Amino acid sequence: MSAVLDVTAWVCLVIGGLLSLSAGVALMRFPDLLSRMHAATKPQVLGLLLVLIGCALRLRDAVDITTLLLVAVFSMATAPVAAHMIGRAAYRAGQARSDLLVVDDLAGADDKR
Amino acid sequence: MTGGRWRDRGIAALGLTVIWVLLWGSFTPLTFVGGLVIAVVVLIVFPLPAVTYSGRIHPLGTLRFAGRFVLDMVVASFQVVALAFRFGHVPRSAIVAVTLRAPSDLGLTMTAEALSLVPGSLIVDVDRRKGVLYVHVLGVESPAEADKFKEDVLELERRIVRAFGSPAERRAIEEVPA
Amino acid sequence: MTVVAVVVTTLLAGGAVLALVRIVRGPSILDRIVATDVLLATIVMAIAAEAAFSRDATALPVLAVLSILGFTGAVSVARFAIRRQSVADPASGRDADRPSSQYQADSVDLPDSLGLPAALDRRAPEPPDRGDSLSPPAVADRPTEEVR
Repeated sequence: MSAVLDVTAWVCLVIGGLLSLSAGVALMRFPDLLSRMHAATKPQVLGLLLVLIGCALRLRDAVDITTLLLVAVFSMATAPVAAHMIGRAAYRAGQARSDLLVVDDLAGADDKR
Repeated sequence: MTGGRWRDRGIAALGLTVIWVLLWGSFTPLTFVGGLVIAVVVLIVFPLPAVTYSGRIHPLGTLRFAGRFVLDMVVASFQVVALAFRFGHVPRSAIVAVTLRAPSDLGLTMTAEALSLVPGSLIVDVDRRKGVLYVHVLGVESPAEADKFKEDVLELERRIVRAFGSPAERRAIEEVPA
Repeated sequence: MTVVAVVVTTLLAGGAVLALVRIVRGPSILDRIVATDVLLATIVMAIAAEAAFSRDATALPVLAVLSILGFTGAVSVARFAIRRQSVADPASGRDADRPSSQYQADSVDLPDSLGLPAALDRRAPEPPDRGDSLSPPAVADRPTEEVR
């Protein structure tokens, strides 16, 4: 039983590490800020969750698992808010490269406020 | 009216207390009472406008939403990973306006939060009054794909409303076909 | 087990280095915030992985603090940056296709419904351009540094 939990934890940790590396690659390769932010929200958050799960599987203590649960909830609740703040700032500063956009519904929406 | 307000505050205080107890990691009378005192102090010192929640939590809908959310998150993550490792390919994207059908504050917030984590999307701007979300989608190559994405967003909203929505919101969702 | 530790450490280090490169290269301050966010998440992952390998929970409270801190940092820098950019852009000539006043007026409000209804409602009665009228003298002597 313990061995199974350990192996599952290792798998979670390795996949989490892979996702973290991919987030780094995406951060380097994507052409504009809005695309790069996808790297910060999706692979990064999933990788973080996997590493936390792996950690919980190794520690197996109720006190530690509640802390890890809090960390997971915090990061899942806050990552979209931070991304929204930055995305909004980026679009208004004209950093969305319009040559990369297939559709831009926001461009015509001057009366959006 | 005032009764509902006190109920909202009670829920907020209870939520903060739960976080406090989780931080301590053990449920004892001391952590519970301490958390409650701190929650009340926090709510008095930093007063919030009440987030009115008129819905009910539907267990089955919540379960369905949570399961689909985890699945979407894994799929979306690996889509971004695949794009990241497709060397020599510059991913194109789109900003799509999606008008939600049940634009309560809480529903809008939850949909926006969920959207930023799942299917390849990111909130750029929000029109709170009209209930419009401006969503940045990665990896869109044609306007047709952008239109298809709108359907996905509305489907996500439908799942959220079915999980947490009020009766009025549920009616609004069911009336308009997706 | 040692092999797994080495592999995970290498992967996390690779991600952290790439994030660092993005922080250095920029080009705008917002790119750097995003990269800093990723770097911080990588650090949280590294601490959690270390706790998993050594089975030692001492560092876990640090994780809770870090996960909140990253968010606070990103949001405050984003708000700071958007205000400075709206002041600095006309001077540096970026973005000539957009009238700068358009987002200057918009620049200080919070996201309308994401997570922060309290701050939103308490700020609503204030004039929207508070602060901007004060900041131009403060930043006028270094208008280009933060944008590029």
